[in-house]
Amino acid sequence: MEFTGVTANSISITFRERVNGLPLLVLLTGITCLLIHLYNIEAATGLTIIIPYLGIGILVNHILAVRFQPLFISSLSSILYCYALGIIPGIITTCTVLLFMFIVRMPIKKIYRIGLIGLAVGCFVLIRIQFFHFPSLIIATPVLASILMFRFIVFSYELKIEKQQPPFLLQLSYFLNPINLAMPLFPIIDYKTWINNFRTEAYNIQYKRSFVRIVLGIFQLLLYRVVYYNVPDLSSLETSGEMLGYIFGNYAMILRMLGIFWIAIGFSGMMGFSLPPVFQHAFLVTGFTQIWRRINIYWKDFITKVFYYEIYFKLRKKVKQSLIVSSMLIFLLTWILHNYQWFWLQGTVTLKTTDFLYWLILGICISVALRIEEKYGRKTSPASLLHSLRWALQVLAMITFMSVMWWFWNSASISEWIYMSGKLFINKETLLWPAVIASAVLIVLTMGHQILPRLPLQKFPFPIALAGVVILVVLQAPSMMQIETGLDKYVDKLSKLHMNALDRDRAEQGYYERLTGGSASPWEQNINFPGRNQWFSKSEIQTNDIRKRTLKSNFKVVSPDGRSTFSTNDYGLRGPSISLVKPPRVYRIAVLGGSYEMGSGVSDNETFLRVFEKRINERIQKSDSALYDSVEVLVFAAGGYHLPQYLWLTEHEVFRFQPDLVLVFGHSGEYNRFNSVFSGLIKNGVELGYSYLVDIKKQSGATQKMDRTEIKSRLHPYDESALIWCYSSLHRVCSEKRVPAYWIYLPSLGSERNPDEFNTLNTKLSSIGFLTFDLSNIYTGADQNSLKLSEEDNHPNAKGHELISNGLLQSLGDQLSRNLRIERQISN
Amino acid sequence: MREIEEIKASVRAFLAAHVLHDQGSEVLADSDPLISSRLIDSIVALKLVNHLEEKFNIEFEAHEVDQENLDSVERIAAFVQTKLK
Repeated sequence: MEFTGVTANSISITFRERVNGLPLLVLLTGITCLLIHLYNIEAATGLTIIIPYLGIGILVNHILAVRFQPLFISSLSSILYCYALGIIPGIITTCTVLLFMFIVRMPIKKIYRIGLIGLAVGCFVLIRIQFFHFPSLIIATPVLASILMFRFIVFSYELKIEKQQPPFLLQLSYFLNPINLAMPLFPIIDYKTWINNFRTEAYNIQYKRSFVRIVLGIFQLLLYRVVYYNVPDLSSLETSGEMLGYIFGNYAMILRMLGIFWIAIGFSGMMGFSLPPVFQHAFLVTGFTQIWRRINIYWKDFITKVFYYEIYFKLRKKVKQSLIVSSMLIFLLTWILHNYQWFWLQGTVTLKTTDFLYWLILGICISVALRIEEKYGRKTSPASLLHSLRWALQVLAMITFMSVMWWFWNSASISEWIYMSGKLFINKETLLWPAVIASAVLIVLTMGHQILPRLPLQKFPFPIALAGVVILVVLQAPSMMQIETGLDKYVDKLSKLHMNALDRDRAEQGYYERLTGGSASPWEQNINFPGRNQWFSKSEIQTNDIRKRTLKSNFKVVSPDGRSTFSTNDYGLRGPSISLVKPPRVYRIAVLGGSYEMGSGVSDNETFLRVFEKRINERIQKSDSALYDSVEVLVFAAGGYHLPQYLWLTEHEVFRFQPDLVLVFGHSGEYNRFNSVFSGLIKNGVELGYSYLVDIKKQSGATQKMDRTEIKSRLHPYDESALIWCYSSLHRVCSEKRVPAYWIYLPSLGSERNPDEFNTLNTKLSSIGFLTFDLSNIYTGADQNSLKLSEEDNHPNAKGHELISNGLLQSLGDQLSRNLRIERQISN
Repeated sequence: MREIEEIKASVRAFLAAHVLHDQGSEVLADSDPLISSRLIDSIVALKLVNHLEEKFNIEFEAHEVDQENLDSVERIAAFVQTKLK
């Protein structure tokens, strides 16, 4: 076993040559780091955190003698794993990779080697499903999965046939490279390609090409953000035009994978590995065979090499149409491998019918196309305008095919897909715009096909990439110099991956629903948002009523940093102890709300309602004329609660405490929230208890067996009427008890205000009898990002709660002063 | 033992019929990349293997269908020659 880092293919480079090449690398690495920093590229997976170390590592690696570089790459990787994951999980990660490499090389019988690997994998399966609870291993397992799940298969395959062992350190660098740390979604680089292409090119050629690839990846990730912000929520779509927007937009989101893979192989190039392209114009495929050949070439090469040829050679003398049979088996295997990948990334297996059918249909189409091509050969045509038009039509047809297939693959079930397909035929007049866009795309593609090959663009990728960098830096310049241009809002959206409206709703609702068995989030969401503040997650228990869950009584937990406390009283309300019977001269305010009102993620005394209560009591103490000695704010709120739960609480809980006032909080996207909660109740088979809601369920045709998207879509036409019914019922109960009810509109952080929705609600709720208060402007002038718990969690932090509390005092002050008979205005 | 030129001619004839069509195999140099340039893909590679097996009465193994052995006319010829030894 050789402990150097070079192969026969590696070129020899002197120290002077390395020093001469350094200025170019410093420039390119500097620009790359700057772009990643400015545009927060893959910030959620940690690239922005490790990029300074990676940048310095690339420079140090360059200066080292080539034979030491693989050792440096692996060592840097191990150190960064310890830095990012913690020392013990980092050490576990490195040691496990070494262990697997050691086992496959052990001089024992093959059957024992397989047994040992099976045992090790089995242990990790148990850890992944959290059968054992070893926190360090749980942290390390997804990272290890990302490193080993495919590369170890390729590695073992090559070991079986290799004639001469490559240097050990180069082998090690195949698994341990620092780029993988920030990119769990890493392309399946071929082992032989990795080994044989280490330092095989002149520096300047290699670095410039790598830089071009990274810039290309960054542009694709920025384009992905634009698409991501504009793709609508499927369940809320009602017309053909909207549906088409969703179908194509949803497919365009593969831009993220494209961008990540280009950046990954770009960085590999900066470290000395000249890898082939991973895609070849992925959106410009003109036939089924090209889907296989041009979208994720590394995956195709992996499958072909390790499985396809092996299967074909085993079948070719036994089965007649062995080529087609092998192709079909390969797509079956692809389906299995995707589930295998899903398991390691998610910890669960999703054996969806749509997933299986997606690969089956794709397999059939590609196999048939391959057979036709085998028989008749590939056709070439002269570069005429007609040929370009035909090419453009083929591209459009394939994009349409892939978009529909992608939508099918992403559907929870066939019935959901069929139901949503029906919406394609509603309001067909809305197809005008898609038709115009398709025609424009057709013209652009045709002209591009005619003109672009004649331009020498492909000869100058590096200057084009530099021009792209200049544009990206210029876009950022005004905000860096704090100059307002009017474009700030758009540049900000492009610079950071903010959650779109759908994911914001999911993030606020989804976390609480997962606690009680609601629908799972997409796998990307789980990868991207792992750091949700869940220290208080054990505070809830399930109930058999419409609330689904409630806070445990007398519960107390302290956050891991010891700074925050989450505690409940005897009645399972967040806050201090209270008596069931209201003491004399105490004014009680009952609050109905969700996670904002409960104070998700902040300490007991930091929640805006507690701060609000404290401030009012301070004013009462100073007042000579107050009718009351104190105010108690009773918070009937928990994560995921909305109108159905508020109504139930009003009927069953609130008035046991004899409140003097009921406050009901509404937030941005009330209809969507209601829809989400109502559909969740149906999906979870919760007894609705209200005949009005039961009737709506019947009228909409929604049933528990349906998938969530279909239930949501069926309920959408009833959102407004059902929401208003809940508010009316709630107000009626309060009126019967002769207690006033106020509705307070508190916008969610990071959401754009929808004045239409607010105005409609305001008018309707006022007519029902609610006194309404609008806190729409409380965040004006503040940096909303600084008010959130974290980048991924839109709930307010302590500062945000303080601001809300101030806004509430301002807004409710006059009215409360009258209620409490305080001569000094509370709002002052 | 077959002459290396005979093997090359056979490979060229195959490429002319299945890949290059009307362009003719003379546009291709012996060292021009075939797999890495994506001129031939996995299916064509398998067909080429079948062709070579039939023509020279040799047998390939699955792992031998790779860039190392099939990436140019000269590599293919050299590999087939080692099989014939």
